[in-house]
Amino acid sequence: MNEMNDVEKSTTEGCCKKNRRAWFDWLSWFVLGAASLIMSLPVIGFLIGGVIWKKKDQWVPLGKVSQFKPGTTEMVTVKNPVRGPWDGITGELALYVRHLPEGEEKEFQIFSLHCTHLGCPVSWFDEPGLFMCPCHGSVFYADGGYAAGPAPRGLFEMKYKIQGDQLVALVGHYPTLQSPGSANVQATET
Amino acid sequence: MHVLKGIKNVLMWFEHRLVLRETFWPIVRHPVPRSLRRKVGWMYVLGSTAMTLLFLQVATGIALSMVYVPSAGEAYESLNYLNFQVPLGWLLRAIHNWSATMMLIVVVLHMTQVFLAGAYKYPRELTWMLGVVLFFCTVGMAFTGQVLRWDADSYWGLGVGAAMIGRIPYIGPALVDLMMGGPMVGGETLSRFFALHVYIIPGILFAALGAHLYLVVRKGISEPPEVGNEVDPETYEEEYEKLIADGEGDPFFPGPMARDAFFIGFTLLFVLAIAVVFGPDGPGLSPDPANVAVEPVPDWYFLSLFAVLALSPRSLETYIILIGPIIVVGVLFMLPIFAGRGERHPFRRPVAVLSVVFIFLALSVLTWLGVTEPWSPHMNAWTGDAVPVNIVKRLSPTEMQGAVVLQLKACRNCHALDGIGGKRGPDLTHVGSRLDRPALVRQVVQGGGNMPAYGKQLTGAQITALVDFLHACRPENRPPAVVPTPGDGVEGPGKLSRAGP
Amino acid sequence: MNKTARNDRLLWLAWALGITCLAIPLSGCGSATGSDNEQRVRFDDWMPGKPRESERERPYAYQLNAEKIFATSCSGCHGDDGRLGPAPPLNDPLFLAIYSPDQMLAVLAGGRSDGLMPAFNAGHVGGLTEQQRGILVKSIWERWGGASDLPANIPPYLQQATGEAAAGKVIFAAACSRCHGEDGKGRAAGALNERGFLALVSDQLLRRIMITGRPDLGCPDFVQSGSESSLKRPLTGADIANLVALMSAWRSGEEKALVDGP
Repeated sequence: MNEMNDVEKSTTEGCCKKNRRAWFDWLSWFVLGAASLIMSLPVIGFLIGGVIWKKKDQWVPLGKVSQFKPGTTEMVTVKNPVRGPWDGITGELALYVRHLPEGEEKEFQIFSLHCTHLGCPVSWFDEPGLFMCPCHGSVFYADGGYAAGPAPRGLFEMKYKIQGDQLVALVGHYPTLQSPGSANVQATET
Repeated sequence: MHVLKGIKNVLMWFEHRLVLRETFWPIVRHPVPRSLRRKVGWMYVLGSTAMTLLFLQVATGIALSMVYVPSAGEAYESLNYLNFQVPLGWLLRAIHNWSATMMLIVVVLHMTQVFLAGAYKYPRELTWMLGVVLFFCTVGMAFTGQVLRWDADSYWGLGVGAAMIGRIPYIGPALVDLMMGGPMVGGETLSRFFALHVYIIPGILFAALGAHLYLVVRKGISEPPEVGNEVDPETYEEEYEKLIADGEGDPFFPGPMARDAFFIGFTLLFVLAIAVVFGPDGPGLSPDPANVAVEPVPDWYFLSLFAVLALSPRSLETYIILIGPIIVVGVLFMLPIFAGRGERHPFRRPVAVLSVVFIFLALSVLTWLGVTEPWSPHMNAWTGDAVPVNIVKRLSPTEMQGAVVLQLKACRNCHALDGIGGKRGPDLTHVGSRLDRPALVRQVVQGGGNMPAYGKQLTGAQITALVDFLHACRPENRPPAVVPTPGDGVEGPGKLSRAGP
Repeated sequence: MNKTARNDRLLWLAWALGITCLAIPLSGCGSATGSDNEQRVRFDDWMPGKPRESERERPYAYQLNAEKIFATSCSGCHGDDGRLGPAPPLNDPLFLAIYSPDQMLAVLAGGRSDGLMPAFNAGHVGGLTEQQRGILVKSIWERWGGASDLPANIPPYLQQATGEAAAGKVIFAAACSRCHGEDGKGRAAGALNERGFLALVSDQLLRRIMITGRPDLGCPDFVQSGSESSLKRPLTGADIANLVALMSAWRSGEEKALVDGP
């Protein structure tokens, strides 16, 4: 009963109290709004967190330098450094390693096997020395250059270095036109 | 009698609390125009069929989720487990797949019917717009469902989706990461698409469906169009009220609804039958990033898109990928705003009818191209497609070696002989009657016309032998091609008359 | 229709109706064990859509059917039936009699550095695993080897002593020029003395063709080409070595002309 009386009092008394009441109403909505806004931050942060705080490409050993014969291109499969714990077979990463014929400027070229058109896997054909894409028929030369088909550019290339007897490449992310392989972007060394 | 009375009491107990007779009953008994009694009423069964198939999808989808593991490492094997181990697991997968197919077909037919009958016009614009939302939700369900199959097609399909999104200026790469849930296609990608397929899109779908149905009941089912009867917002509602007034309209249940019931029942049996006969779709090869011996092809409803992506000119492609969808969505969505009044009958709307015909023709042709994929190299043609025997039999030793070079250098992957082999480049069976030796050498060495240059890949002897072979590729008794001297001014006939035996 | 089958079908119908009507399927129930090849239920076996574990889609490396391997990886050059392709036939009992599975395995794994035969090891696109190569080679001898009416004194596959080009010229004029023309410049069967040809075929391949001929294309083997000529006897291993030496001389002559200019 006391409470009831209090309520009635506060609503029926003079102008100051009325104002205070209105202010309190306004505050209540403000509190709810602000709280909702603040509460949405972690949710939104969680949803786009992977974009803001990216997993970075990492240097991954592809194998002994001596295992790649000059003048050949072959596929190597490694564990993708940015894979998740339950990625299974999709956590693998396949790359084409080209050991250039002796006398060329560079020693190696590391290609992503994703076609630059729409990301399908290109196959390396030793005999004609071409990469061919099964989806829409883009073709690339042995040096990754564009040869034919709808692809807008040559194959994506990765940075590499030779550490001891190991060939190491900076790999991880799925290369797309605006975020190509590590050899094409100004990647910060880790 | 006691039993019946008991049941009645129980029912009344519920009725007293649910008050269905006041809320639900008027909805199922909402009046529809009497003209639906005619044969044209059969046109109105498609919407409820699509809805029923949606419910079937929910039911089978929930059932499948009891076994399916949405983990990148295990999803593929869990599908094989469903196919081969779980009793009737394969059938559930088949029903889910074929019912999805059927649902997409029925939704498109429903849209087409509504468009042709002008039923999207005043006052049902919003119903159409919500229908467009439902359509894109259905397409979204189809794509995400295909992703959950988690085989090679699904894996590379995601890559294709990411590559397309990656072309959006500035924010493309961020959107790619958002879509894949990380920098690569993997476990988080699958979980993300699982959430889309199971929670997010169905949520939107059911919200939109609720609003769609609310409007259907609230604004009434459109009367079949009549020639010359134009929609005028000033008078339409008044006229419609007359059509469904007491004694004029029919209550939807049980009369007109019986047609829906029959058609739905028929459709369900049909879905079951094709599920039993054709079985589930895949899973195909495992999602192994290192297995490049795959030919990723989307499910049939995306084959037309697949064809567009293969056929669009390189310079325009990015614009087609980015702007095309906006135009398609915009046109569909805004249609009732621009054409919300006037004639409804297709006889008086030639542009509408022609658009439908054009769209369906274009989609059919593109889908057919998507099935045949003439632009894709045949990756096994160089070792698998034999040189036709009738050609081999007439070759000289050098030409024979040229034929081996042709196979070895994977020319057959793009070029057919006697129609067998890749279809990307021209069939070479009669190339010797089209190009002379210098032209053949030039084409082989320099490439061009969407063919790679083979100059660096072939030795001189290989080029000689290959060109000898190609030169011999012409019908018997047909002289080899002779390229006219510049300035001859005569094309075909000149060629022939100049060609000596 | 027997009774069990009908019962099965009725049972199945009941199931189907139950699923479509109630939409509460039971596929999630039951514990998850059982060997890979044993399916827990059989009553739906009659349905054409039921997938079989054996028909599961697998990578090409799992293809162990020799005929299918041949059709995918070999018939492009060697012909659908192992003959009548542009490359030398494998469906040739005479060849299989002088050749050995081990030699073929080695060529399959490493290719021929002096010819156009590529390597088919797993590192290459369209390559074969060691197991697949073994199955393939075995089946080639099983399918096409083992002819009983082979001629006697077949020259060995590998050359034993180097030949003499001058002696080869005499034999060529007697045995080969009928079809291939004087000095191999061409006749009904086409020229041999051409740079495009000589540079692409190895001496070993020349020797093999001289021994086996191309029975699929009507080119005579060592017996026919010798006996039907003025020699009146089958060609011997030494004859063939001489012929190979002759063609080898043509080849180096061509190469010299190429460097020096005409």
